[in-house]
Amino acid sequence: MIRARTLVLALALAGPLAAPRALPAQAMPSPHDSTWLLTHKEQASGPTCGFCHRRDFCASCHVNARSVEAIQNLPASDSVARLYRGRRWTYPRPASHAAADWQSAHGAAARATPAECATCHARESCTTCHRVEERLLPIAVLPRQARGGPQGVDLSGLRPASHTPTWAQTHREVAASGDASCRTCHTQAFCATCHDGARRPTFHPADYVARHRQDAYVRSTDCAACHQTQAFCVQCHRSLGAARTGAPNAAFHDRQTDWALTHGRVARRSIETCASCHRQEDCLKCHSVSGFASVNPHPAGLDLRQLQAKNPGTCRICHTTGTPPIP
Amino acid sequence: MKRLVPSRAAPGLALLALAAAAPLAAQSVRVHSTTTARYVELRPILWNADSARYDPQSVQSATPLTQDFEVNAWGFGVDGLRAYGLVRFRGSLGSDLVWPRYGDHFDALALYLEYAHADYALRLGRQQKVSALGWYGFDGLSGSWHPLAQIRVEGYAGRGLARGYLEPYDSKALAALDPLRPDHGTWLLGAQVSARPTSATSFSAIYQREILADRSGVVSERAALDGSTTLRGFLTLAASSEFDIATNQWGKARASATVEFTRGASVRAELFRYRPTLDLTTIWGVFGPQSHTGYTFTLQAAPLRTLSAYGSYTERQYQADTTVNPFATNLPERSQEAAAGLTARLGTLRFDGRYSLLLEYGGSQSGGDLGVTLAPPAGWRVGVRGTAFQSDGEFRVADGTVWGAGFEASFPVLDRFTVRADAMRYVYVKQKRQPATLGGLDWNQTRATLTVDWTFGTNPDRQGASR
Repeated sequence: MIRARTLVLALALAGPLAAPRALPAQAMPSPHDSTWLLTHKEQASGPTCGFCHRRDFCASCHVNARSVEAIQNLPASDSVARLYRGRRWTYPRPASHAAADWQSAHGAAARATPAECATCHARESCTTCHRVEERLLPIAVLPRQARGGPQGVDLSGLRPASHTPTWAQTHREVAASGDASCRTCHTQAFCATCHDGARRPTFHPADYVARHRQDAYVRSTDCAACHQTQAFCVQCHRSLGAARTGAPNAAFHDRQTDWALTHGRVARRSIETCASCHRQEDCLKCHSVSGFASVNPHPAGLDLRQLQAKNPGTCRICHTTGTPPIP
Repeated sequence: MKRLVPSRAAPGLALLALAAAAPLAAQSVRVHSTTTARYVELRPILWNADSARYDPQSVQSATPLTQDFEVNAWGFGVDGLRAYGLVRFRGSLGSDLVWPRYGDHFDALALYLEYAHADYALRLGRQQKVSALGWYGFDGLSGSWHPLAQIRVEGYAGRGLARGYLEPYDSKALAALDPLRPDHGTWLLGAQVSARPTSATSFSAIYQREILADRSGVVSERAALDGSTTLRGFLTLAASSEFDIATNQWGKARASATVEFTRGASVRAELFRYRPTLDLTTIWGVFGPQSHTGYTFTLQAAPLRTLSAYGSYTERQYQADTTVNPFATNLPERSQEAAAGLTARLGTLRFDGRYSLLLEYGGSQSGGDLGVTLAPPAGWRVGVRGTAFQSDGEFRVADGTVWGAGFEASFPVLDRFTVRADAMRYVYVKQKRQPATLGGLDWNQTRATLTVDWTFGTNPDRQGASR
């Protein structure tokens, strides 16, 4: 990365090299120190720049060089253009950009004075984040990057401060409060890379196929936010022999031979894990009025009347002999 | 004469035709194509009645192939009108194993027409509603309106799709997996009000109801509130809570406070409650699933521009079971999870590592990942990765240590064409203390992925940028 000071030095050296004429002593400008790049606009309209610099020198940074009169007034030089063709600079950061809320406030500034943005920013600077908003006026008025021309400020890799290393796990509230802010930078395909991804999302560690069991068991992540339990989990567990294998000692339940008697507490704590291997009819073998021993699975305090009112069909899955009695 | 009856697929086919035709008529079309081929080795197990143990079978492989197209088309002569589609084709390159969902060769993750006006927007087609209630897909109409610049009102309704599956409830694919699912499809409808009174504050309220298409019952009826605010530019408070109206119970909830310091340092504290969301069309909800609560502390620091690190600690407290069952297994009521990560850059080299330890009631797991990546400004990237983890407890088949090593690489072949690849080989080392009855399990496996990203059309975005 070339820092601002380095850039000043490079420009100070390269400028005179490119100048075809001898520099009159009286024309030497005030020192081009590290603040010069941000403040030279006021003095750049004078005739002295042309003693050292050519139009192509300025155009190597200014993406809007074609529309800046002071730059267009300078003579062109093919040799300078060749010297700077394809150069990439790191631009200095104006004081306004250092404000803590610049990320949320820059939109208003861009709408107010889009021409100022065009000094350093090409349209591609904005579309680095605003991928679906290239039609917004402050973005649309910016010049595009040109092959061999100035590239403008490179914002690749820029992330909002809120996107901490654990953002993949914690973005839920922000995303849920309306997707407007997410849409500023992301299209739906980006969400789908994890939520319906064709490859392992980055927040799942390596070999998650073998490693996911504890996470799933204690629900440290909400698996159902992305995966349909029956379709996703059961399909794989069955093809691998991990579900409904018919083994008498239920090795996946810690080889507990009394699992049928002892599983209730575990099932209540992690019923979704049960559903990742078992179908509903597995439970109905015992937990049904017509099943073995007719074991009642309803805990005390469950509002069965409310559930029956909402969906009587579910009651009839177990209570197959008419309306279920409600205590 | 046979009457012509519109098939169930008709709306989908119409939208598909519309989406296919839209780019032809549009002045501007952008297409992002992602082709992903994976090679996944797995080792099935089989119960051996003679030896009374599970025996590993020979390694089998799955080679799922996925082709995603994201199409964004606009410029139909009507300002604000666009067509958007995110469609997926699935196939297999000769698999031994059935990889989940790869019998289903086509999916439309999103496929809609959108008209966006300054004050309102309308969407017609397949879309997904993201809210504090989670992700819900539906085929239908949604509309949003800004009565004030800071307020947004949204309503949506349509044919409901199964959560995480994007198929109607009554689809054959789901019926094959669970014969007790209802025969009817569902209707989904909901409304949301969002407000952003300041640029640093937002909150929303949502109500959503999902019913069986024959109106014989409710699938789910839920509401949620959420909001976040940033005070003085460094303190962010966020909270979210949902209520299950159908069962009259509170569901998931979260509240967090994040303090951001200079140089990328931050502290975050979060309280949360988890309760599963279960459709009323299944019996799982009447088994009285329990909730758990917990908290997480996260510290993040970046003492140097080239060095950042984070650490987090999570503790969960499970609900005490008051059921009188003399046989029931006693379970610990707490579980802990600790994690730490570090990223350092040295010139064009990037080092990253993370470690996590889970001490859960169902077992424990300890594991870490390390990576070194060479990423010069030219855009290509090559790295090596290593991993190791142990897992024990109830899931005895995973006793031992798994070691893994591999590589990852990314090459921007052209400005808008990138090829990425990664591969890992995992070697399972059995622990000596493993019971003899479970000996012989071999979990050595290989995984690899090859991805090709290609963007073309109007104003393609810059390569490497977040999508």
